[in-house]
Amino acid sequence: MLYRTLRYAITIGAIIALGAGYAFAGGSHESSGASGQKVTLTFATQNMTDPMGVVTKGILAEYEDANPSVTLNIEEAPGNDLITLVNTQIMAGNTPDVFTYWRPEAGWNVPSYVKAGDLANLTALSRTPALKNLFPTYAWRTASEVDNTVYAIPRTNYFIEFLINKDIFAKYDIPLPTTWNRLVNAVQQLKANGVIPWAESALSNQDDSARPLNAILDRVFGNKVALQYMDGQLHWTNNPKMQTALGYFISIAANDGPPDASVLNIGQAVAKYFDTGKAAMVLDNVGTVDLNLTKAIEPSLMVLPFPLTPVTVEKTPSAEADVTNLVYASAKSYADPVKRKYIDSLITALVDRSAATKYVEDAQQVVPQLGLHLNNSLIPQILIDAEKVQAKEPADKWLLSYMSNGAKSSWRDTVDKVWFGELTNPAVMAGELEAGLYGKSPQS
Amino acid sequence: MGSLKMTRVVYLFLLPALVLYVTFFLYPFAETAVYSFTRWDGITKPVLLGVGNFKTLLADTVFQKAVSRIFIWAVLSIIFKVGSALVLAYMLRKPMRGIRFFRTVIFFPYIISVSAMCLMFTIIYDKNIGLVNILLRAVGLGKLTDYWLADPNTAFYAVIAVPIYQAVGYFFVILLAAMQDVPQELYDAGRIDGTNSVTEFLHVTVPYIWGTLTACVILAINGAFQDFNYVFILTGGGPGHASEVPATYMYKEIFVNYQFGYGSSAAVTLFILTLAVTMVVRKTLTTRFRTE
Repeated sequence: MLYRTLRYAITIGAIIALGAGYAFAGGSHESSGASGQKVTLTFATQNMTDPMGVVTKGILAEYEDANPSVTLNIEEAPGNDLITLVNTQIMAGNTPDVFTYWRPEAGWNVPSYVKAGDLANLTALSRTPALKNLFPTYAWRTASEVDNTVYAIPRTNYFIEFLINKDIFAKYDIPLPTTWNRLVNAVQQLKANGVIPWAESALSNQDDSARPLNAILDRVFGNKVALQYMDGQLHWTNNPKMQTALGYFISIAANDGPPDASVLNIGQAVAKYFDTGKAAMVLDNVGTVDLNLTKAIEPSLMVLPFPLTPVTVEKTPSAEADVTNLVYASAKSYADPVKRKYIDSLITALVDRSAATKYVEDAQQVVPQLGLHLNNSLIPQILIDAEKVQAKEPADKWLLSYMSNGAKSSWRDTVDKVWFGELTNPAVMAGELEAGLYGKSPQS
Repeated sequence: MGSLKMTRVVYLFLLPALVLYVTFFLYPFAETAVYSFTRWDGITKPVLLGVGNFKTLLADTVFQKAVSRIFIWAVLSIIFKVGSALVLAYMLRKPMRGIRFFRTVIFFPYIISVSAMCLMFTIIYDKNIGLVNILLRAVGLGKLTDYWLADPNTAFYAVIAVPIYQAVGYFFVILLAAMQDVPQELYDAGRIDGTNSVTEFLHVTVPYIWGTLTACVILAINGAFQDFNYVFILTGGGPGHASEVPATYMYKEIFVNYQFGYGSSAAVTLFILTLAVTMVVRKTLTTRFRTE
């Protein structure tokens, strides 16, 4: 009898201990501050191992030193994996207190986060003296794209630069690609001389392989109309002008990238082919390309505007440019008055002029902040040249900004096929792009 | 032999494991099945779609080709993973000089992490500095060198060569243990009846370890049907969708395209497929030999 009772007691005790252990392990350790208490903030961002990450770490360390009652739990994820991290945490009702992220566009799922009430309204913060006049109008316009409300504070910019290795062009006596015909001619002559025309990435589901096509569509149709095509509002097939545009892209891209472009990201493609002189041109995000340039190759490089296409609505070559990285906050944490104070000061520390100066001088980033006094000797000449060229170019919105995600994957697959040499007919390409935008997505 | 009486104490002892099983398997599976009938972006409320996701999925040529690839992978896994392990285990079952070294070398790849193995093979497959192409050039087959992971014709096979190579050691250990249980008397009796090493293998060893061999075949099939890591790390399913498998397809639909409902339908379809194939294979193989 005693033995049986003991058995029951041990069994029930074990179950209770297991349950209690589970409850403790699953519970939140985050302290919500009353005055004087420690406050813990989670901060999610991309990898902190590149120069931008190192600068960010420094800013966070300074912030903690200045605010001893605040502890920062930093969560990192490489590149686009940050999307998965943030999305998963928001789905779990555990939005990071502060996080860096892309623009508030449907492509990054931000309108869904806003609709679900997960993101803090930062309009009041945007009107504080520290931030009110810090950014130009276009940056605030980007930051308030959802419901005309500021849900994010701008941090860094990007633009697409067209870099060429002028020494290769000189070696083979190829005219610089300052016009469309010269560009087409350059691609052919480079290939004939055993040089890969483009250091490009055709890695699955990335933006890089479509940069030339985006630039061409902006030139042929203008950015506003091109966005309508990409949003599925206009048809691609039975459209001679579209076939002309796609033909331009095929003429400079079909089989004109590295043979292993499908397994290289743009940084790897630049390092493997552009830095070694095996490829002659690159058209991509200045923030990624320039970080992967070696000191040895820089003297050989030159920045050019990507030429206008023969059929064009533009008078001046444009370039894709926008705010790319912004800082968001959790609505739940922002509702806590003590946490809100620290969230506001942390966001300000991440975007103010001091931070922006470091982003430019130490991490070679492009920033929207106004009124910076930069030490140009710390900035690579190639970045200064690129910014001079970009300053003259009207800024285009990224063409995939409003595209649904299912359509985006299909779009990128079709573009990659051109780089692999599997798609060389503009009419067929138009059909596949239209099918991806109108037909295949389960969400449509 | 005693029998287990399902008393209250037994149920109480089973309860923690049952709770974990329900929490981490049954409940998530049921949720996934429910979501597979909806359109859901993971954040806003799911919208009921009926069987719309399944109709779209089954008509999707990318998914169809992904499914055909895992069948190819399963067949190659059985032949090379289990087949190689079986032969190696048979060769190394008896003591001989250097046997510990050989057994260690065969098992060693299995203990390397998947990421490290994939990184190694990324370099091994490189066109310029990779071991595969260097060896091909060394034996005068330079014309066959390729960008193994970037060529749509070879990418899938280059990817699956890695898990097949890595798992041979795992199956080797299992089959070796099974072979060492074969009574020596059976081999002695076989020798009296005039068996050679081949007939001994086919008529004594294999029938005796048939149960274990069946389990290995089923594990190999399951691995092929469900594997994600190798494809994701090495090629991401590319170039294009040339090495796409249902697991990477599902991942992209859910975490890249935010189509949780559609991705869930892929998960449910993959589960049903795996279950059906496993049941058929198990039924076919377990009736082949019966041992007391």
